[in-house]
Amino acid sequence: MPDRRPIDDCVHCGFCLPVCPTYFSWASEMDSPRGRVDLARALADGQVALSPTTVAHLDRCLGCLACQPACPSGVRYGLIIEEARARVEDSNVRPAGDRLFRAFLFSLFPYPARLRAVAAFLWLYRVTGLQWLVRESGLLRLLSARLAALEALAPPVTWHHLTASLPARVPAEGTRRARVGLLGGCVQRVFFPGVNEATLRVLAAEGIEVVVPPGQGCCGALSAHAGRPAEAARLARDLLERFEGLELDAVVTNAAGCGSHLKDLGSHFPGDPALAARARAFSAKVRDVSELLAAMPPVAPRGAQACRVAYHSACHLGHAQGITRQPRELLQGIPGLTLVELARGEECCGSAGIYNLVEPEAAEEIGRRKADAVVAAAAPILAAANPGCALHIQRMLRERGAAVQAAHPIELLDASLRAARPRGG
Amino acid sequence: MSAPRPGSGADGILGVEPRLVFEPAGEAEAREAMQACARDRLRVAFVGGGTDLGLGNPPSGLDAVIRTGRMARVLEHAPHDQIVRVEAGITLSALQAALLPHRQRLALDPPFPARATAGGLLCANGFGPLRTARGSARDLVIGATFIRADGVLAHGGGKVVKNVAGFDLPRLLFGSLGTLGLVTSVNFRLHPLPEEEATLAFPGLSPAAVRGLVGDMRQAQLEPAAVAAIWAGGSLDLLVRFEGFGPGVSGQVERLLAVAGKARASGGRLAPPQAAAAWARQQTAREVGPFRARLAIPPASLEVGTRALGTLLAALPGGAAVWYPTLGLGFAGGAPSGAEAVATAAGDARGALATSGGWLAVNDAPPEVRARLDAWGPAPATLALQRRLKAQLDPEGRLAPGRFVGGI
Amino acid sequence: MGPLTEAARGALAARMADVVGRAHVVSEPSELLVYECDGLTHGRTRPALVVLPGSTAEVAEVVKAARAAGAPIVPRGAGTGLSGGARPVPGCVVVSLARMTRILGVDLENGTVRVEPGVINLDVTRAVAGAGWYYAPDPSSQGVCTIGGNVAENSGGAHCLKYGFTTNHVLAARLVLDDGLVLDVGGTAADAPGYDLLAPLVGSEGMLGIVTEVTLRLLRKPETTRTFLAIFPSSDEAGDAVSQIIAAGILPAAIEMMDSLAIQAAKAATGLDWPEDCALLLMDADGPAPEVEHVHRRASEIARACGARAVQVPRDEAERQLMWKGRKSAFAAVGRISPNYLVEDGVIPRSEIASVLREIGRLAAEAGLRVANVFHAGDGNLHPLVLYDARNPGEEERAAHLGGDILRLCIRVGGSITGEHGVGAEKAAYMAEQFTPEDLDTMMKVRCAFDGGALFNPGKVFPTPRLCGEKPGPYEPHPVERAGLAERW
Repeated sequence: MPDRRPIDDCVHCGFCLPVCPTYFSWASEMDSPRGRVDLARALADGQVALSPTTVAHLDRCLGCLACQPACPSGVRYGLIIEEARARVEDSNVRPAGDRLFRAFLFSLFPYPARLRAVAAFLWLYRVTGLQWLVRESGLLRLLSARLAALEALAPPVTWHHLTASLPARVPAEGTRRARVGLLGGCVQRVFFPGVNEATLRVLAAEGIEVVVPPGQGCCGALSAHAGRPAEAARLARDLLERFEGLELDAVVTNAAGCGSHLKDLGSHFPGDPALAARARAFSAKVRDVSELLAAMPPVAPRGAQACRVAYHSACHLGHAQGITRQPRELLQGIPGLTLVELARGEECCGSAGIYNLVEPEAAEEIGRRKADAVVAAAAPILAAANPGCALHIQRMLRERGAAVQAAHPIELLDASLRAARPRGG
Repeated sequence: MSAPRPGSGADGILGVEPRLVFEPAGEAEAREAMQACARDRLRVAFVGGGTDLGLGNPPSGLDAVIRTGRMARVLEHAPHDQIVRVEAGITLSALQAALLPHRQRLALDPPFPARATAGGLLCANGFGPLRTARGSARDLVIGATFIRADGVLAHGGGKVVKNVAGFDLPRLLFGSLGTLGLVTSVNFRLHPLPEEEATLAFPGLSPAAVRGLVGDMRQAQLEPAAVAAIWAGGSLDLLVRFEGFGPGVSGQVERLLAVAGKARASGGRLAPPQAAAAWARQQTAREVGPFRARLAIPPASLEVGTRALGTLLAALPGGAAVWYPTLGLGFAGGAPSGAEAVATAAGDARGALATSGGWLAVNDAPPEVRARLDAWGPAPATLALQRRLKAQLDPEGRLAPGRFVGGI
Repeated sequence: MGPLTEAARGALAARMADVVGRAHVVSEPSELLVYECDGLTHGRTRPALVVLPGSTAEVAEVVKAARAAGAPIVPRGAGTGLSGGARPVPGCVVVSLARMTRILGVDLENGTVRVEPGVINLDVTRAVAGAGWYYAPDPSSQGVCTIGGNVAENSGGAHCLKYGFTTNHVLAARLVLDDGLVLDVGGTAADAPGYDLLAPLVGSEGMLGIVTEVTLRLLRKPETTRTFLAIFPSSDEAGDAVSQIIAAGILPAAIEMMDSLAIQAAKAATGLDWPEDCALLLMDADGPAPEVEHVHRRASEIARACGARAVQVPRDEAERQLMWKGRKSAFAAVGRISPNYLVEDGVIPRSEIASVLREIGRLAAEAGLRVANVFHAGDGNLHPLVLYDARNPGEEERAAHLGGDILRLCIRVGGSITGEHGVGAEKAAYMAEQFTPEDLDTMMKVRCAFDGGALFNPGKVFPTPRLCGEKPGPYEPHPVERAGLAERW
C-alpha cells in the first residue's frame, strides 16, 4: 500500500480560501492553498510538467501558513509548499536572470557580515543624498521592479547599525530564574540591533541570564522556505553546533521566522537520523521571547507608556507557532498602553521572507492592504515581532506618507521597564 | 368519478359563470376532472373557500370550476414531527380543531378562517398578524401535490421541514392564484400552541409613533409574535402580542411597557376578552367590502403606506384599514363613495407606493370600479419570464385565464 | 453541444479576455486542473475555460459569449459544495463569481443588505454585527462559502430549525438569464404581484441563471443565547431527548448531535476535551432573556430525564465558540480519522432518529465500514460520513453502495436525499427514487421557462435530462373514456 503523503490529506473543503492573502487579492484558485496543493499533487504524480505558469503560482505563495490553522483536516501545507519549491529549484525551469537574483539574495541574507557591509553601503547611500536622487528619479523601477523593491525596502541605516555588537553573556538581575541562549539572527542583528539589545535588557531584568554564543550565522529559515533544503540544512547544522553543550533552559529568539523554523528542525535532516535527533532536542528548547516571558510571572516593575499601539501578528509567530496571545499579553501588561487590533489582523503583510524581493508587485498589493489597516487603526506605533514584517510595513507606510513607527514588542516592554527605573536607565 | 353539475351564478368568479362545476371528493376524482378539462380544452378555475375570489382580474373566459370543498381530510398528522398533510379543501378552522388536542397549530391567522382553505392559503397567500413571528404560507409549506393543466399529478417538497431535493415547486405555487395547477394537498410545518400569551394595546398613535415604537421594540430585542396597527381615523391603534412560556411573555410585557413609556406611548396589557376583541377588530377591518385592497411598501416607509390607506379611505366612507408595521403590508376596505372616486384614490395610492418600491393590488371590487382600475397595476419587468413559466405548465392558457398579473 | 475544438476554445478565451480582462481568464491546462472539482473530489472534470467576471454587465457578456460558442456554463462560488454542484461538465466555461465580493448597501431600517454573490456568508454578519444584527442561515462552511452559492443550494445550517433556510431570507435577486438579459426578481416590499420567481431560483443549483446581486433579510441579534452540551450513553437516548424537547413546545435555535466517531474527529481537530464513548447534543436557545433562561432550564431537565450523563454549560463566549467550532469542523476533521470519506445529507422525520441510526449501524456493519454521524437533529438532517480507505481494493465502491443504501433508507421513512448540500452531480441518480417521473418533468418545465437551451449547469440534479419542448411519452394523461364522460354530462 503506498504511503499517504501530506498532499493526500487535503479534502478540498476550501476552508483555507478566505485566509489566504493571494486568494483574497486575485480570487483565483491557482493562487489559493488548496489550488497549490492540487498543483503540487499534479506535479508529484507527473500529470503536469513544471512550466513557467505552474512555477509562477508556486512562487506567488507567501508561505505565511495562514491556511494551516484554518485547515480542519490538519494539512501540513508548509511541508507541501517547501517540497514543491525544492522541486522547482532542482529544475531548470527558472530563467537565468531569476536564478541569478535568487542566488544573489541567498549569498547575502544568511550572512550577517555581508549584510553589515550592505548596511555600510546603505548608510553612505543615505547620507550622501544618492538615495534621494535614486528615489526621486524612479531610475531603478525603470531597470527592474525587483531591484526597486530591494532599494525601497532599505531601512534608514544609522551609524549604530554598523557598530552594534552583542555581549557574550548578560547576568540576571536579582535571583536567577533561568539561563537561556539568545539567537542573534541575521537581518535582526544588522538592521534592528535595538531589538536584540532590548531583549537582553528585558530578560536580565526579569531574572534571566542570557548567553549569546559567538559566531552565529543564519538559521537557514529563509533558504528552507524558498526551496533550498541543502543550504538550509548546512546553515542549521552550523547554528546547532554553536548552541549544543551550553546547558541552557531555553534558546530564545525574537524573530518569528527563525523561531518557527528552529522549532521544526528535526524534519530537515532526512538522511541523517543522529543529526535529526540532535536537531529535535534543540527544537524542544526553542522559545519565542514573548512565549518565554508569558510563561513566567513578571518580576520587573513596568513603567507607564501612554500610547496606542497596533499589533501586527507576524505569520511565523501566529500561524506557524500559534503564538497569538502571549505578545498581546506582554503589551497589555504595560500600564497606559492601549492595544488595538488591525482589520484582517491575522493576514500576512506581504513581506514573507524574500517574497517582497522576488514578487514585488504582489507584495506591494498585500502590503498596501496592511498599511491601510494600520492607518485605519490610528495608532502611532505598530508592534511587529519579525524584522521582515517591520521592514516591509515601514516601507509601505513610508510610501503612503504615514507617520507610524514600527517597533518590536520587546522594545516597547524594554521602554516600559526602563521608565520604571529611578533614572530611566 | 362523480359527474359535474351545471354551473350557476353562485359558482361564478367575478361574474363569469362556468358551464360545469366539478366537486371531486379526493385526489383521484380531482385528477379525472382535470383530465376531462384537458381533453375538452376547458378553461377552468379552482375555488376553495372563495375568500379571495375577488383578487385579481375576472377570468377572460370560463368553462368549468373545480371546487375543493369535498377534499377536506387531514391525510396525515405526525405530532412528534410537527407536520401535517391535508387535502386542499380543508378549512383553516377545521384543521386547527384537529390539531388542538395535540396543542399544535398551523401558524396562520388570515381573515375568514372558517372558509379559508389550505389550498387557498397557499395559492392566494392568506396571512394575518402572526406572520411577524412565523412567516406566511410560503414559510410554512413543506410540500404540495398538484395537478397540472395536462392532468398530470406532480409533487414537490416532502414531509420533512428541511429538504432541498429538486426545484421548490410548493413555493412556486405560493400566490399563483390557481394559474399553474390545481393543488390537491398541502404539507405544512406546525408549531406548538404557546403556553402563554399577552396582548398590549397602544391606542391613538401617529404613524410616525408606530414606526418609532416598532423600531424601539426591535432595538430592545423584543420578539413579538403578532403586530397590527388598526386605522382609527387618522391615528392608529397599535396591538402587540407576545407568545411563549410564562416567564418570557411576562418579561417581554414589562420591557415593552418600559420602552413605550420612554417613547411616551400610553397603553397597557389587555385582559383576555378585550385582547380577543381587539384582534377580532383587526380581522374585521380586512373583511369589509365590497372594495378591498392590499398594499405593500418596504417596512421602514410606514408613513407612505398609511398615507396611502388614508387616500383610499377618503373614497371609502365608513371603511376600515389595518397596517402591519413589521411586514410593510396593509389592507383597506369599505363601500366606495363612487366608482370613479375610489379608482382615482387607488391609482393615486398605487403611484405613491410605487415611488417607494411598493405596490397596491385589488382584493375585491365592484365591477364598475374594476372597469376603471387595473387589479394588479403596471406589469412587472419579469412579465416575459412569468409568461414563459405559465406557458410551460399550462401551454394552452386554460387555468384561470386572464386572472393573474399581466393577463396571465 | 459538442466539446469545443482547440481553436474555438482559444477564440472563446480571447473573447472572454476582451470582456473581463486577460488576468481573469484561466485557460492553461495546468491552471484549469485546480477547477476540476468543488468540495466533492470524485469525478474531477476539466473545464474548457474559467472566467472570473467582476460585474453584472461582464457576467451578461460572458453568458452571451459562451452561448454563442455553444459552451455550457457552470457557475461557481467558493467551490465548497459537497454534492458536486459546481463540478465542471466537459467543455464548459466555469463562471467564478469569486471576484464579486462587494457589500453594496446596508439598510438597517428595513433590515436588509444588498450584496454581490461572491460575498462570504459570515462577512454579511461581520458587516452588521457592530450594529447588533446578523444574517441567519449559517452553513458549517459559513466562513468560506458565498452568498451566491447559498442561493444556488438553498443552504441551511445549524440555526435554520428556528430561523429558516436561505429561501426564507432572500428578498430580491438580480439574475442574468441565458440570453444575457438582466432581470430583478423580488423586492424589499413583500409579496410583489406575480409568480414567486425567487422560489424556484433559490435552490436551483445554478441551473436557471447566474445571480449577480442578492438582497438579504437581516435579523436583530437575539438578546441572549444559552448553550448546553449534553452527554448521553448512546444515540438512542440523545435522539429521544431531541423528540422530548421539541414535544415540550421548545423551538431551540439549534440542536445538534454527534456520535462517538464524529466526536473523535472533532476532538482531533480542535483539541476539545470531550468524552468519547457517547453521543453529544449541542443545543442553543436564543431570544429574550427570561424566555431563554426558562427554555434552557426545561431542556436541560429533559436531557437529564432522558438519560444524559452530564449537561455542560460553557463558562464564557470563548468556550461556547469552541464547542461550536468542534461541531462545525467535524466534517472536514473526519479526514483526521479516516483517509477517505463520503458525506451524505439525508433527512428523516425527527421522530425516526434513533431507529434510523440503528439501521445505519446495521448497514455499516454489513458493509464492513464505519459511519460517523454528525447532524442537525432538530430537523432530522443527518450527515452520515462513510469512512473508507481508497487504497483498499473495492472499499470505495462498498462505501458508495452504503451511502446509497442510507439515502434509500431516508426516502423509505418519508424523508429526503438532501437537506442542504443539494443534489448536484452526486445524487441525481437518487432523484428518481424520491420523485416520480412526472414530478421531475414538472421541475424540468420550470427549468425550461428560465433556460430553454440548458446552458446553465447541464446534467445536474435530474437523472435523465431531456431537451425543452421534447414530448416525454409516458407523461401524457391517461386516456379517459370520452363516451363515458359524455354520457354523464
